[in-house]
Amino acid sequence: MRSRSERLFPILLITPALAVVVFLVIFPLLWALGLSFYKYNVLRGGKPLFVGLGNYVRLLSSSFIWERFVTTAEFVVSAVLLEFILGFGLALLFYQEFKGRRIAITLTTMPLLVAPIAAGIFFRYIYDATFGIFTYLAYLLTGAKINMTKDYPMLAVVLLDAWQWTPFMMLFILAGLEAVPKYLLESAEVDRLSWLDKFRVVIWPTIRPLVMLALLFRTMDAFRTFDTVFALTEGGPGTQTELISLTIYRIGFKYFRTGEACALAFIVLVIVILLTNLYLRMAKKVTV
Amino acid sequence: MVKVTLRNLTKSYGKVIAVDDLTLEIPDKSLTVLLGPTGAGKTTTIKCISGVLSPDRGDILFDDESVLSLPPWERDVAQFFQTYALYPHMSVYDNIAYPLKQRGLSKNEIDRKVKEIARKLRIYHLLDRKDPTTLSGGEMQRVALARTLVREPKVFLLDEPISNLDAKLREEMIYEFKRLCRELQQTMIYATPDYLEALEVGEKIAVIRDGKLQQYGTPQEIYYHPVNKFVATFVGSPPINMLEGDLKTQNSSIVFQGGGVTIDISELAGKWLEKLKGDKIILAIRPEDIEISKEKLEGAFRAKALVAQPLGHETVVVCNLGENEIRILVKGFLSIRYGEEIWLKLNKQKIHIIDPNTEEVLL
Amino acid sequence: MSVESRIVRRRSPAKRALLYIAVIVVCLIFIFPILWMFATALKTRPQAFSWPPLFVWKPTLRNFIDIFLKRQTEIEAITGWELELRTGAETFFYNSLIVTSGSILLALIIGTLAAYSFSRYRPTGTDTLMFFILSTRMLPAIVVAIPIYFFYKALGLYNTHIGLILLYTMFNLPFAVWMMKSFFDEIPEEILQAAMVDGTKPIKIFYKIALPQVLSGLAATIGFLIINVWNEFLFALLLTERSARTVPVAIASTRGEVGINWGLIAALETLYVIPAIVLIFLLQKYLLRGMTFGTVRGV
Repeated sequence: MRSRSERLFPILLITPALAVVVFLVIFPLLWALGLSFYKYNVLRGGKPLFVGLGNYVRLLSSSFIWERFVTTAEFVVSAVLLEFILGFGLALLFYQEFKGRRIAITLTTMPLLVAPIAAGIFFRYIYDATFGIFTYLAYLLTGAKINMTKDYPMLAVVLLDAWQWTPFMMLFILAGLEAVPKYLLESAEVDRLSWLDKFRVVIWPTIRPLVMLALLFRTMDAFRTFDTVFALTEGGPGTQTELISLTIYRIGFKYFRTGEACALAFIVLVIVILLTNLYLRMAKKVTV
Repeated sequence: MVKVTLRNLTKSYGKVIAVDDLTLEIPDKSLTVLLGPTGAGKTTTIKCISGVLSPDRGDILFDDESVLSLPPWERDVAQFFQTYALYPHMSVYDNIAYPLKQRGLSKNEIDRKVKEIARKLRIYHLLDRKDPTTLSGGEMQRVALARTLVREPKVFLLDEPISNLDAKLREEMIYEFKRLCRELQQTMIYATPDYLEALEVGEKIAVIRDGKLQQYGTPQEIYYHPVNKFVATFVGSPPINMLEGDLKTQNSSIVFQGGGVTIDISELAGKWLEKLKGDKIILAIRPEDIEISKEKLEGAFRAKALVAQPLGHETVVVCNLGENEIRILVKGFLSIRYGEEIWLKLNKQKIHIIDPNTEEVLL
Repeated sequence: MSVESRIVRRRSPAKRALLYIAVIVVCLIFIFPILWMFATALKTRPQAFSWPPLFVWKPTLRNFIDIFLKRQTEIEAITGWELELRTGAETFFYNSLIVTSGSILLALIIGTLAAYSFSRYRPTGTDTLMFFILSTRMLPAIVVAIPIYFFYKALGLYNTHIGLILLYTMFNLPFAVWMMKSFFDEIPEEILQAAMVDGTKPIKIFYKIALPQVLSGLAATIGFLIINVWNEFLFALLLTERSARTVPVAIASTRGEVGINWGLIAALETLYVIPAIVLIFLLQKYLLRGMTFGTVRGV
């Protein structure tokens, strides 16, 4: 009953957006999928060789690749856990009223503005065994001269990630805390509820969605971490901090084994989708 | 300025049917009221007429021409929204001037009209306000009214336009609407859940319930000749008295028996008896059609008075006729003692008989 | 930051002092590396290499000048990277600026139009599309990096402003659409209906009625997009060479260099982070509101 042009209007509005998504996401994705079925090396040239699932088989049966997944998981779990705990603590801290609160929050969230790559590069300087400020402070505290990036590379990387992303967690959780209705807290006070009960009954239900969201976002992002590790350790020493994203990069842009890199990238994609689905399902259970 | 015809108008939201097969012919240059409780479908009907909503079925005609394919901006209707729907980013002046600007009127014309309507609605001093959301409820309503009335459309659609105004302004606005309708020969469709407002405003009233048209007629018709139980009870305050009971024949008389009271209604016998399904009937009579007396009257029934509620120039007396609770409207001031014995005489000519199964008013 | 939702407890002075100490410590931890970066930017090469690290030194603005200088009259050892920086830093800044603002503008235009359509008209498949757009954020960038690399080379988009702008627009789009949609959702439907009845055509409703009401949302979205794109590295690395290179890539090109002039790098990083800080500072109040509204409503 509406005119033709009217029904077209909303579709017209979406078209540019869809076009961008199709050309710059769907198309490359499909192309990458296609590439993953071939053995192709840009450097060596020659014709691409169709190997079907060959790349996938090779990768999935490679212990090296599995180790990389384990390393990545190590990183993701430690980083997100640390950021969550610290972020929660910070949120509780900043939930209090005090003078200069606004400024304090702004200062604390500064790390989010620094380019991860810049942070990675600069933390090289901070961690440097010969003249890094971190090494110096650690020396003052423990009397030992530590070479972070050599001796404790994973810790170095996790600490860097925590430095940059804990404020992110904190902001989300803080927003959740601020959303807790005051009258509920007050009646909990009047009813003399213990801290634990107060948390369980009043606070948690309100902050739950934001906490879940923050965890989801941070986990997804942690999985894709590239810039910081690339800059700080380049995956080293050896492969101690080589995250899966770095591996894909190496295979694809150092060795130029394009097909293989695409295959690995897709494996990672599938894992991320599965994890997200699992996560959302679990998140629903937590409500009950 | 146009005749509006609704034909089999139907609109649902998911499972809820808001407007159900509504057929209505609203005459040209008239002030018609859509009367119904909240949720009856008045707003939905109005929005279908203005084109903001598309009906699922049915047709809407302006002067016998379907406007269904026309989008709202081409239908030339002015609508007052129940929620005011003021443009928050524009000043009061710009809000009112907006529809005129869209129609392409000259700056001077616009200025003149805006100021005129602002003066009438006593919001002239608010014209410069930049943020209409800072106004009081009543002020916002008047600005929204101004925005609606500043135009000269084919049809005016007013969805509860005076709900938040004080009594004095309400009276003035009702007068203004009637004047606009008559002088400028406008067609106005007015929605309200307030039956008093409807009776005062409307030339014709369409009573709507759950999306269905109950009755369409003049205020007198609606009040004195309701077609069903809903219309009878909805219109009138205090509401019409309903007595439930049986129809019986007693010694060649037809009587109503219910709640411990027997009323001879032989003189009312007529065709309606045939339409009656079953023996149960509802006898209905309006509070003002009952005479009350402290001394025994001929043909009156004995009743026990409970409470008297003075309204100023009238008094509502609540009493028990047998087991039935009855309300009587008496002119002037009457005081009673709780439990006092009084006599009620029913004006038999004003009795309505309602079939409890079909809820139709049979008399 | 409403005061209402906080319970103000009367705190003993000891607890109060503890609170302030905790706050100060926390702030220091997070801001220290950045401050150290600012400090290092003011040090000469030997000063930056000293042990123990200098907390008091004679500051110099030399590094900030050196980044842009084209002269090569210094005798001290200049690495390849430094050479590059000294002859091209302004190009890198320029590129970063063009690419960031271009992609934000494009993403805002395209995204806002689409968001309006999703919000107001809900065309069939809105929910699936919205979820799909969100899921693009799940994509490890590297997955599309490889084909896009070939893609761009083939189309001649390699090492161009347009190329990077298009790509970053794609990065920005999901955010822009999600956030703007939630802001459009907040507009009461009846206001738009009133505009229709008052004689406004749909496209005009968009820019005259709907858009003005989401201006603060626009500010929040811009803030987010800036953080998104200003600091992007991977694709800038893969898809550009010197002439279109952005600052993050320039910063990274020090990897593997021995004996780098940390002061110079710090200066570059400092200059790069300051605009971000300034902008976020200006958009502060819009951001917090935007973050929680935009995301919570969506999920």
